[in-house]
Amino acid sequence: MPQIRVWENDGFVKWETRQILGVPRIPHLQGYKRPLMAEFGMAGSRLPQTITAGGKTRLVSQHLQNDPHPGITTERIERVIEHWIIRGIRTERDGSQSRCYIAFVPGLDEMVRVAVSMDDEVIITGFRDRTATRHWNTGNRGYFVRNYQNLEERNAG
Amino acid sequence: MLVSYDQQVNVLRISTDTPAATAASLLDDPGIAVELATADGHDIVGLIVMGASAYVPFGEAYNAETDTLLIGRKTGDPKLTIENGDIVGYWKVDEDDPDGFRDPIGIAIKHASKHFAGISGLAK
Repeated sequence: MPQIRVWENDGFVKWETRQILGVPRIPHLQGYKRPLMAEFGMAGSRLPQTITAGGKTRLVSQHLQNDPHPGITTERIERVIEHWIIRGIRTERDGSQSRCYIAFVPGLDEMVRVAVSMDDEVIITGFRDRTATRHWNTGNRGYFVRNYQNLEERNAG
Repeated sequence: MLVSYDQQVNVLRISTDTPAATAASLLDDPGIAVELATADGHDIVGLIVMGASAYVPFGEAYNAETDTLLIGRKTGDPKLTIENGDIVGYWKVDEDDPDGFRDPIGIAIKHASKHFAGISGLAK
């Protein structure tokens, strides 16, 4: 019988054995609880103060350290910065700018966007981007052209 | 609802008790990421707002009469309005999409003065 992960809101994940389809869950859990690991990237998994990607070490913003969007892990941020397929500059409503890296990462079927400060010193934030994924998958490059300046594209590597 | 403002990078972060499964960005403003409870759903359970100084301290986006902060824009179509507690999501159907995919266009935070009370620098 397969092992599945059951997410809980208290920052823990438990493993239990149950049939995935059709049959009520087995009442006695055959798993255990343990703190969430960064590899799973669920809420509650803090990120480090710095992340090194592409030979450059950058600070990680406080909110990203303390309350990362689920699925965002150190490894995935590194992956996006190093293996981006879209990169461009975002200008927000208040005029602030960031350099955004967008890429697919192993284990997720959506693109992840990572925003880095223009001085390249701070990783501002990162999240799964369902909207970008949809436009990418449908070949709507216009979406990226409209929303990012100095847009660069490259093949995933 | 937990609201925090990361002054160093000018990001507003809103979290709720419901864990997010994914995020979508506002159609007209990809600097706003709405966190969603399920991959194919529309219940907004969190927000990441880059360029947050457009919204805090409260300015044009805040309606003092209704105590509501509007990020993005509204729709008048009730079928495209989804409420999740004090978070109201406004959506638009992408008519070019064969599945009638909905894109988020705005979020309203009700009882904003209460939720944002802990944010330093919040004027008014």
